[in-house]
Amino acid sequence: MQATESVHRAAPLKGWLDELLVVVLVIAALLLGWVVKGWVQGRSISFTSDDGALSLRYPADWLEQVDKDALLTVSDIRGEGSFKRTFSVATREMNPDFPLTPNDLIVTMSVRKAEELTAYRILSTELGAVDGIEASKVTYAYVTEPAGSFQQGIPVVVQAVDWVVILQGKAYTLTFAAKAENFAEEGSFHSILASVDFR
Amino acid sequence: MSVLVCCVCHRPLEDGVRTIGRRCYCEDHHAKVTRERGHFWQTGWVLVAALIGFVFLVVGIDTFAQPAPGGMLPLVAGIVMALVPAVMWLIFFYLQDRLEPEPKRYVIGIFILGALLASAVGMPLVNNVFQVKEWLYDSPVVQLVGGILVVGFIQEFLKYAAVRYTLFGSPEFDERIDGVIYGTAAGLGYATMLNIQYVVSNTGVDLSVGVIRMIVTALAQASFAGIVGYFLAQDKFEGRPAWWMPGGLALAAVLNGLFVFVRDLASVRGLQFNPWNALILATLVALIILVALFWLMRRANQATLAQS
Repeated sequence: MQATESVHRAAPLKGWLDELLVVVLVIAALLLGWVVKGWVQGRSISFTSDDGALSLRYPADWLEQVDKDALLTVSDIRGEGSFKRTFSVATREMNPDFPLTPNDLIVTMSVRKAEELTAYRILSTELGAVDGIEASKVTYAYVTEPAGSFQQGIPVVVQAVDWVVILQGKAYTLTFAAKAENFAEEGSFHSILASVDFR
Repeated sequence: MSVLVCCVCHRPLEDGVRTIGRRCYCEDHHAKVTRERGHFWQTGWVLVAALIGFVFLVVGIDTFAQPAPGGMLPLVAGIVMALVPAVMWLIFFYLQDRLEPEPKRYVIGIFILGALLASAVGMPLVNNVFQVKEWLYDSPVVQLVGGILVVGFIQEFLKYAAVRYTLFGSPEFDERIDGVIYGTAAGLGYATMLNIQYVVSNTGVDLSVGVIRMIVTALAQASFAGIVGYFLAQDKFEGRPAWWMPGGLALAAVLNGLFVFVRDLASVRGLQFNPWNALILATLVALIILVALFWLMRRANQATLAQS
């Protein structure tokens, strides 16, 4: 039967070239996609304090928040989850008559935070450096309401770290906060910290 | 002694054997499959009525039961909502295979394979490796380009793989339309997992908005995969040039990216979220693709009939 043969004469599999082209196309598309991802994520915005003593860069897709207590507060408002990753930098003048170390500042800040934040707990304190300048680092956790007033969810456990640097009569506090379960993976915090430049 | 049976009703053919290709039909079924009729419209209207009924049912439950957000009811309802439209669309597409309905176990198997590939490969790649939510919404251009290159190609390749590396070489894949049937089954499996993820990540959903979104997502994913399946079948039966299949996959990926772009772009105007704009536009896009797909399916059926 001619008709029967014509239907079933179909090639069971096309040659390897078709298959190879499909795979090459998909790999090429994904590589291009990866390049776009890298380009978007690599873009950053520069911030310099009014006195020019501090500059840093933060991801371009993070949005600046109104915060009268800080030089700069930015949040990843497009990020997933009920708490958005946040970075802020605050400064205060030091009293030259009462010189304090970064560790002293951490103690006073911790007392204040214990009053302001729910279930505030210090997880660790250690010494380190920011832009090559000696700094104290305190890691802590607290509980807060989930972002978005329309969401009725369980409270969020936040993990945060403060880096405190004293330089030229000023104390700088750099704070990174994220949902506790994601905190360890926050590469963006390391990028911001690495971009900090004290002059 | 072998007995010829009708490939649709499987009754023995004692007299009046009719054939299309290698398949045998009884008089009734031969007349049925070769008759030009409003088959598409009949099943189409039944499906539309069923979907509208389903939407009203869900909206009714949402209105009268008023389930608390975050509770178990929206979650369970959402998962049911993810499955029901997929099954309805699957039946609709399956009924378009008039000449020789595919074995149901194969169609269901491809559906499950599509869902498994989505869950085990597609969603982890998109969400964890490419982390699209971290960068895709940077600008409309990035959203469109990234949506096509990453989301579109990953999803369409996995649906392609679900058919290409399983049933493509089997004797059951013996008609041009089989590519569309198996492709849509893979697409609906994929869509089901996307919809379940949508429900779970939103701790249940606004049932009224969610039900429409899920129906449209299922339709769109099925249509893109149907296009991939059509190109696969044409490649198998017509011996198309080497660029044919990559071209088909790229077309489906572009349509996929365009659909998601339209759906997301229209849902946000400034800071005001308006899901209905998105759904209306997305539905239009999906319906246009569906009509194109049915035109292709009709052509495939006619080509097979012309050879008989």
